[in-house]
Amino acid sequence: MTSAETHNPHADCQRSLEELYQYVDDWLDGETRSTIRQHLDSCTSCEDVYRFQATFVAMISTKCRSELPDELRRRILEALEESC
Amino acid sequence: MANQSTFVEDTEPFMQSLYSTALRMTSNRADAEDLLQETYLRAFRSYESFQTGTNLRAWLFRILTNAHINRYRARKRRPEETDLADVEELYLYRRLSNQGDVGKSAEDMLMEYFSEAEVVAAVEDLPEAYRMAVLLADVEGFSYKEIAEILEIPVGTVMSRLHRGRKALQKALYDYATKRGLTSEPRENVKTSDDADEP
Repeated sequence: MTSAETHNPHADCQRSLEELYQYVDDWLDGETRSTIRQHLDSCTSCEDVYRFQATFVAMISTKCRSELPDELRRRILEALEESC
Repeated sequence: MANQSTFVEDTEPFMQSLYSTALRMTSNRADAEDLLQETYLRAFRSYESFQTGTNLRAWLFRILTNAHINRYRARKRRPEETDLADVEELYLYRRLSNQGDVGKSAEDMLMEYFSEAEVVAAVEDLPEAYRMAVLLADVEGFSYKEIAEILEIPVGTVMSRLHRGRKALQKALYDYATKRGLTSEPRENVKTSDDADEP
């Protein structure tokens, strides 16, 4: 469990989780992005972490949506018509 | 300059996601409905100041967020910060990876382990600043730069709030799972553990 104390599961890996999130969020420039991609291709533990965090973000997105009630949509459109 | 006559046509496609975000911000259906209506009326009134061709979705979310903050500040505040000192990086990953479900990766377990109700509750419980960042980034898919503009904060602040928000979320979800006994015991023991934890 020594790796649990560091940001990365892989001792040789210099990437921080924050940077991995920036990768997940598609924020990094092309060069940094491809450096990380290459690292992930060759480092199974970091690749696992990356896939986990990406899935986590996707899960939040999927499970956090609520349907707009039709009645509310109608009410707002009516209110807008009245203000015209 | 945008024309008010096309307002409904231009903005209606975003009503669904604005509502969903309003609901997560307010944690309350009646408040979310009022907030969405206020957002649309405010947006309509100032639509002529919107620059056509710029980011309409981000503009609407900025109005939503500002309307929410104005309402929210008049009410009781929730804590702005949460203590994450004991929450290490990769909190959930390490815990789910240690579950003995053979042949299942931690990522496979994510989708199955947490119900919609748990995810919603965990997001709604986040301190305000983190919740906004998580909603805009993870649920709505805005970029850091767009979020910085919507919330009128620097990009670095967006990143740190998002990072902390996700961390707090992972901790909260793991706590829920542990409470109902799913991750604390192997599957066949779930029932006993559930019974013991029943309030």
